Amino acid sequence: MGDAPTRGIDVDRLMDDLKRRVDARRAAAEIDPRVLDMPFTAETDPDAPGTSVRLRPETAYSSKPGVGRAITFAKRAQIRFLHHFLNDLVAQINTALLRLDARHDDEERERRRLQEQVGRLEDELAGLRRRVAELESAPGGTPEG
Amino acid sequence: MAAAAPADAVTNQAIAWRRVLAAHGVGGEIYAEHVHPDLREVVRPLTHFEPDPAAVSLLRYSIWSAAAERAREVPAGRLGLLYHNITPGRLLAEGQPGVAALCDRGRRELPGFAGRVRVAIADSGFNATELEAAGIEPVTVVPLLLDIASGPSRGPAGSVAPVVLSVGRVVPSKRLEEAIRAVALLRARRPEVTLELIGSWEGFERYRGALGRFARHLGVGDAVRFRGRVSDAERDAAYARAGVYLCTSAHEGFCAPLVEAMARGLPVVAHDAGAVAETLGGAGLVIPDADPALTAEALQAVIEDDPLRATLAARASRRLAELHPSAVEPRILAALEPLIGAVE
Repeated sequence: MGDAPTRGIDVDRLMDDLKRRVDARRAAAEIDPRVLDMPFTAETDPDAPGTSVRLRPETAYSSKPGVGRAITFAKRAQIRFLHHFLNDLVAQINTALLRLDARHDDEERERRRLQEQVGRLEDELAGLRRRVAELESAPGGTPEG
Repeated sequence: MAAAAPADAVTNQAIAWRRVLAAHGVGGEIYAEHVHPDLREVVRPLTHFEPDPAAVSLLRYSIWSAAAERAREVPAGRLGLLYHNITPGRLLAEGQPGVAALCDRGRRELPGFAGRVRVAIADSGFNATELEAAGIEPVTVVPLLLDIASGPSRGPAGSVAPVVLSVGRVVPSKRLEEAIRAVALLRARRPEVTLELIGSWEGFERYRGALGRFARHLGVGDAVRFRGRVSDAERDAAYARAGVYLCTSAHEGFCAPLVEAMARGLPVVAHDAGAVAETLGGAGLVIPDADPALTAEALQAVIEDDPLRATLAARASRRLAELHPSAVEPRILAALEPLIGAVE
């Protein structure tokens, strides 16, 4: 820990002050209500990007005349029989997807950082080129290497 | 206990307590219903447990399990109960209804231990209150025994990294969506601020996926890093890299990461829930009513205000002294004395 003063600031008073600051920001519409009110749901949204895999036993169905019901029953019985195995498989796939998602986010972050760095270097290079051009256009001026 | 797994707080406590007891000449074995393969050398499967009339047992109670069932076979005078609290099932039901049901059963069965245990121990006053409400008295409070290693001292505001850190399992009871929301609000004023989340989401993949979508919908998808489970060294590096620790949990029986953060010189902002305020002991900014706007304001204050960080550091030093192993170990021995005395 760092060197700490024996007498510090009054944290209770600070919290009251922070609450007043929040009230002032609210009054000045500085707090985005979209962020405050955005509902959070852990339900799977099938249209959302990066959504997870889920079992869909309802697709185990047959409409063949005569034998459709028996085939549907057999298919669903198999699914029930393998329920734990399939759920584990789904969990593994979802974990892998999330890892890929996280890796993609990391790569995207790194790409932006490098892009910004390239932008800065390009600005720097343009500045140096301008400086060279100025020196070259100066009377009797030739840049020294 | 119910389960033994690496990086699990209850498992770590069981191992730490056994080490303390062994140092004082008291031997023992740890048994768990589920044992992670990495811990088979340290923890024995519950199927090997047989109540020994010449021994005593201590049940670590954090969920209903076969371990709790087997504890009922232990004669009343030979059983101790250590309550780590149980997450209410409603906070986990969405991701893990089976686990949620075991949590709820654990809470329902708690009164059944009244009058059956020689000692009752809770790792916070908050947990003790729940035991007492279940008719289990008297209760001794013994904080978690944690390895409190001092971290680097933090510099002035200019050198504070704009990284908000949260450590713990990625489960709905942690309310990490509120951490994301607070950081989204703060980024309107401090766009360089990022949120780093460390912890496993195993079994709660759907919640983790929803958090990622939520962050993207709020426009902070690239500012939130889900690190997953990491090694101790990587976790410590994250503590060293961060500027402020944030806990938005809706329920905590103690919350060891708060202590880890304080021990590494990291100032804490935390929502007021369960034992959080008690664990901090005044060494953090506690947010009432889980207000995200106030959370964002508090995070900004901690990042920008040098005197505030110095005050929190001084308070953390005092709190850490109370939680230091040299202070906690005698409390463990004193709390267990009536139980251990039963076999001496």
